[in-house]
Amino acid sequence: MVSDDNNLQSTTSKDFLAISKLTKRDLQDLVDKALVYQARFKDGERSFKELESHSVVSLFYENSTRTRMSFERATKLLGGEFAYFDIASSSVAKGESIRDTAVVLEALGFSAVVVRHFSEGVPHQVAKWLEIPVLNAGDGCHEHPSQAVGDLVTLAERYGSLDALYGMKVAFVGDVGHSRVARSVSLALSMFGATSIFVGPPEMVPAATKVETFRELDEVVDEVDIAYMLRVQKERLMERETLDVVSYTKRFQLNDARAARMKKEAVIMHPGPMNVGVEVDSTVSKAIDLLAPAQVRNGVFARMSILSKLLGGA
Amino acid sequence: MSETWIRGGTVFGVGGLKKADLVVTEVGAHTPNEGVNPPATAAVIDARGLYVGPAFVDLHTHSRIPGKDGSESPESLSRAAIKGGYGSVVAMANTDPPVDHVAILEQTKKRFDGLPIQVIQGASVTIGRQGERLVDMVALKEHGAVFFSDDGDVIASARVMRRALEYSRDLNVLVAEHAQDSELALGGVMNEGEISYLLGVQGIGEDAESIVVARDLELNRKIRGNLHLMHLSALGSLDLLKYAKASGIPFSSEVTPHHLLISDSELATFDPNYKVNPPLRSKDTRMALRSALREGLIDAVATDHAPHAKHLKERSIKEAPFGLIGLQSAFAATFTAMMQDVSFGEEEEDSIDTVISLIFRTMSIRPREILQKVTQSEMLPNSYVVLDPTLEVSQRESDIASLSKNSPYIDRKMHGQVVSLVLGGKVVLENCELQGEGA
Ligand SMILES: [Zn+2]
Repeated sequence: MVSDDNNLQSTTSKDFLAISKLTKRDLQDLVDKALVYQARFKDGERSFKELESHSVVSLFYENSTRTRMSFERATKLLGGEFAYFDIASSSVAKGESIRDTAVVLEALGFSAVVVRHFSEGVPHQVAKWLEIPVLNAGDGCHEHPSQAVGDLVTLAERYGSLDALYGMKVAFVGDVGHSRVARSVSLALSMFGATSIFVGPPEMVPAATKVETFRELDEVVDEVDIAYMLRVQKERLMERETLDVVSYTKRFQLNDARAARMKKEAVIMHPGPMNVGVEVDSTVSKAIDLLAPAQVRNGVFARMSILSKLLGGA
Repeated sequence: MSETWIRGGTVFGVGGLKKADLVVTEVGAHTPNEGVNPPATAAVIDARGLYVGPAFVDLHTHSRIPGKDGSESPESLSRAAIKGGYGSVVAMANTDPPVDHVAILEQTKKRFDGLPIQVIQGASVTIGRQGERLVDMVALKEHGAVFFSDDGDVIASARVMRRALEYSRDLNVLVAEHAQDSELALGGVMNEGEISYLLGVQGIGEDAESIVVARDLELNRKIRGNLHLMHLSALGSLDLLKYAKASGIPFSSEVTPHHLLISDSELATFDPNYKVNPPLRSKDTRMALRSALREGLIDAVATDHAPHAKHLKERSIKEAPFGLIGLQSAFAATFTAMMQDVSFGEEEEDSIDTVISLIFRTMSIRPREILQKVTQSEMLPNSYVVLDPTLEVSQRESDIASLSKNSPYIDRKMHGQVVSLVLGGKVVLENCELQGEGA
């Protein structure tokens, strides 16, 4: 656990790997910087210089067009180049060890590597092997830290300041156990004094967590400030011998009726892409309280902020 | 005849520890008479300030022979064992191909001919380690197999296990179980608990082990076979052992040095060298395992030495294979672990004596007894190890004798060094350097 004293310090690391390795101060700095980019972007600025002469490469062992494009957009807005090394679609690289591939990317002269992998910890392993910065774009069910920074930007934008998060109650609804988003975002929010609760069936919210857990969305929907709806993959649901889509949606879908019971100022978040008809119904998917579009937009500014911290010399 | 004098050490024997010289030859060992000095022809090992006792015996080594990935050779295995103070090791049958019939048992045993260490080659319990059909235990026993295990996998079928235990009783052989329900453990990478939750890594609960321990013990209530429970790592298993003892159900058991020394929090580094099966457990379980060893509830320390080629351990923790090497570091890891439970101060020397006695009991005497009493195996005679418990050690990768380097002990500060080893009356390790046939 990060103590308050530590929280006031900022950390120095060549990499961006996990919210658990950052302090409140780090997060605040990243968000502040992202908000500056956001404001300048709103003013029409499209050409930033921090990553001029830098080239960033993505090393994705798991497909994710959205996250990769967000990193690409952030790099290019900062004046850098962006290249792909997508293992998932490269038959050549199959069988080559992660270490060998990563070392090649460093040898090719890239300034930083953005890593996504289906196993927890791979960006941490790569970071140990390389001297250049490594950015975690999602590792298994562990963390998705750039998503969390983006979400903080969205909340700071919504409430005017991250201080507003103090005392808020945030429900993460769905497959919390397998969600790197939930893990990163709840950690980040806790640093700003928000309390997380988890809502989901035992298949999805493991007993080992110390966080307060609820087995019905109805139990908490009227008391939360933020409902963070996690994406439920239908295929994954089907794999579980003890749960089906019908019983899931009945107990955990944020639908029109449940949304109507939420506090007036409460907001709904979703990391996207949404499974309309599973975790949210079509009304909620278009509700104005849903911050999902802002989350995508601010994801770019968050990644600009992260990249510029690691590479921009600022 | 050549003589080796181990002089000035504290010797572990029937009456406990006492200061004495020891003369070891190829046919026996004795304490020389007071005032007698070694002849000029004798080799002399200076053991002043050190501890001397019977060479270690490992009930659980993965030799990887036969094997295709080059993770170990007979010679590298021998060197690793010698540096670890071992004279005899039981080699598991989960090789490639597995040791499941007489011809391959004979071929495999030949690979170890001429080594200074004794390799007791195990056989699998089921054909191809598929868990379905029992191997020909009678024929394998006739050709010297005394240790049967499908280790690496559980014997999933209670019916097959029951039959294997019956044969173990009739043939005077051991059936050793890797107790782990494969359905519960499916997809698991590390211990299921607070840490696995924080890391988002899929866990293997302790119940995956204890429910199989319960099954096997119950099966053995009537059958009374020679059941050996391997690498125990669950609080529930320990309760079940107590219950079995009270009920007179026969069994023997082992714990690994790594389960005594390190816990699941190490996985936070995502270093695949900490990925082992059964997984490193919580601190609470680790402390309970230490108590169980101290109290004799668990009989032996066994290494589960499991070499893996480097490229396999450079995968992600999800993809990397389970296992770590342990022969060479077993003494340091076990000694360091057991010393952590005793408070230092005026009684430091007493504590060292106590822990060293425990080490000889659980790493030499009990494993040797388990093999001898059950199987009447002839163990390597006249074999002694010299230990320095005070030396701080921190292993470098270049110190590792195994061909594989998947050690969780690299750069870890531990106490305890195997200084010298005499096997069958011959010096194979002196002052930490391999000698003669050991090199
Ligand atoms: Zn095993």
